Amino acid sequence: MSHDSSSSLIEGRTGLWEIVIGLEVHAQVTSLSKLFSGASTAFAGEPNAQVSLVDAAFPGMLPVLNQFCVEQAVKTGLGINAEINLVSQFDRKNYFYADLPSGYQISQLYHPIVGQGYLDIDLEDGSQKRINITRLHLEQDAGKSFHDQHPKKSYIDLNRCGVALMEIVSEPDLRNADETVRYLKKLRMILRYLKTCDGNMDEGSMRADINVSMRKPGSALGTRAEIKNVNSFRFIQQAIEYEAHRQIEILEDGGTVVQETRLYDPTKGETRSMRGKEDAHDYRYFPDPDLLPLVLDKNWVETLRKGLPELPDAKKSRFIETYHLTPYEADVIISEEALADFYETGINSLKNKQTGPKLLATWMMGDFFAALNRENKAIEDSPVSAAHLAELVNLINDDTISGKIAKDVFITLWETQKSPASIVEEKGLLQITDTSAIEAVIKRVLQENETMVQEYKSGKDKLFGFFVGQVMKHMQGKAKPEMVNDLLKQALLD
Amino acid sequence: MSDASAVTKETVLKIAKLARIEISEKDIPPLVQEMCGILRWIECLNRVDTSSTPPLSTPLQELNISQPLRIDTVTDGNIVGKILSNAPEVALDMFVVPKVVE
Repeated sequence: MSHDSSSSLIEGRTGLWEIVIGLEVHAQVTSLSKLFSGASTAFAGEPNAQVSLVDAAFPGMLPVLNQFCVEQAVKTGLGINAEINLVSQFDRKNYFYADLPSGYQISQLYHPIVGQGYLDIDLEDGSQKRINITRLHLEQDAGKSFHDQHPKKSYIDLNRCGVALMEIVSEPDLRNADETVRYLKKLRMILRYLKTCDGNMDEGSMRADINVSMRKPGSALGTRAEIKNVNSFRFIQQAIEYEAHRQIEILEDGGTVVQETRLYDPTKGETRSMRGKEDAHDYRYFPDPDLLPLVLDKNWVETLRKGLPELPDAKKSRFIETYHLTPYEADVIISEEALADFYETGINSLKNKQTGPKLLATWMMGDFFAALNRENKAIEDSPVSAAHLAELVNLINDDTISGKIAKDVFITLWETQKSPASIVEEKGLLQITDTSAIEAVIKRVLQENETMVQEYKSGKDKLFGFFVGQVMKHMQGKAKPEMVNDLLKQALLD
Repeated sequence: MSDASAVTKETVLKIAKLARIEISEKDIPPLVQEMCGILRWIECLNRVDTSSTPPLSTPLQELNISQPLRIDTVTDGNIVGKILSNAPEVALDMFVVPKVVE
């Protein structure tokens, strides 16, 4: 069986199979304190230092809901075009595990805060696909277990216990690993624009449970297996590919897929059953008697809606329309809000609003990104300001310097943070656009290379580049390349 | 599960396991009886027609008041000693429990 990750159909021994994928994404809510307690959510604190008596489930302690976490969930709901439920309710999901001191997770099964929504993903061929979202609900994270400290014991740190998560559940609308990764990237981008989750997968701020099932095209949904807690795009892709092929093998051998929870093992590149969880689905949910329903004010929700930032789709369309970027350029520049902001700050400093924006995008995505990558710097730490990069573009646009010289100016700009205009002046890099000066050099070059001129005239066209190079060399690269081309052509005709 | 006669020895063992309660073999028959009794008693409620009554999770629900909310500031934490005070075993400021690995 072979297949590429953007194909929905896999050829098996008995014909084609279709992959059906649904996702449950856990996104940590960006907040200072936990969902139901005043303990800090900061990453990597001292063990058990960010735990309140509520989080540790001491008897008699009562949860009090964090208003900001509610706001973050509602904003996220609005960002994924979802309906906001003005009345929602918290339930207890009961299970026994060492990192869950209360024996239950406070979650929202029956009445989630956010109902149906969707987001659109861009596919490889430029088309869009709508992925429906079933719901978003608020719940608590559990503590963290360390299994590598002792041969027979596990160590438990409750710092994460009680941190607010948004669980975002998609419909089974995804058909391959490629779409799944695109959906996750889009969701992550929206969360980051909204500042409701930092999307940091390394720190576990965003992780996905992947439901995978197989069916013959057009038939009813097959039995699914759930792959738990996969936290990188690459692993998600690998886990889906492995799981699809595992299920096809079973089905084609006449077996049945067991509905179970599986774990992806990145070192072995396979999924395996989490046998210890056979009772895990007997959660005995019931409404949490400690918590009244959560009732939201419609006007408050509308105020949040009006305060939403411009989201990636809208920004992309606007950049294509206003600045004449290609969809690819727009995708790159809007991929982080900070990049888009940098770009638009630069635009404010452009003199030529017609060709400038496109050239600014080219420069950002070229030498500028290369320099950031080389020094492993985020846009926020860039030594070159948006205004200076725009000034460099202005100098190219008004013929003060050539694009080639601009590359040298950029290097100095990166190192010294001096203004591009002053760099050009100090280094005497002004572009030469004086026709007679260029003609004089051309005349000299042609006289010095008479044999080659003869060869050129007898049909060796390739020598044209040699003459251009010689002229540029004599003029320290400062002549305007287009003028050199035109004047050389004329001179060689004579 | 609303059928009282459906309670068997297996039901009792499963519930005991979910609740992490250890029960001896001789406790099982009386527990089956007890649970049947509880379910029979609850089944009385089936005589009332509730098809047009929405579920009520709290008596305050009718008032349509919201739960109280707190503002998002760090007001708690740095009480490792208290948090670990009931732990049977502690190391490196963490709870130590029998190994749980999937």
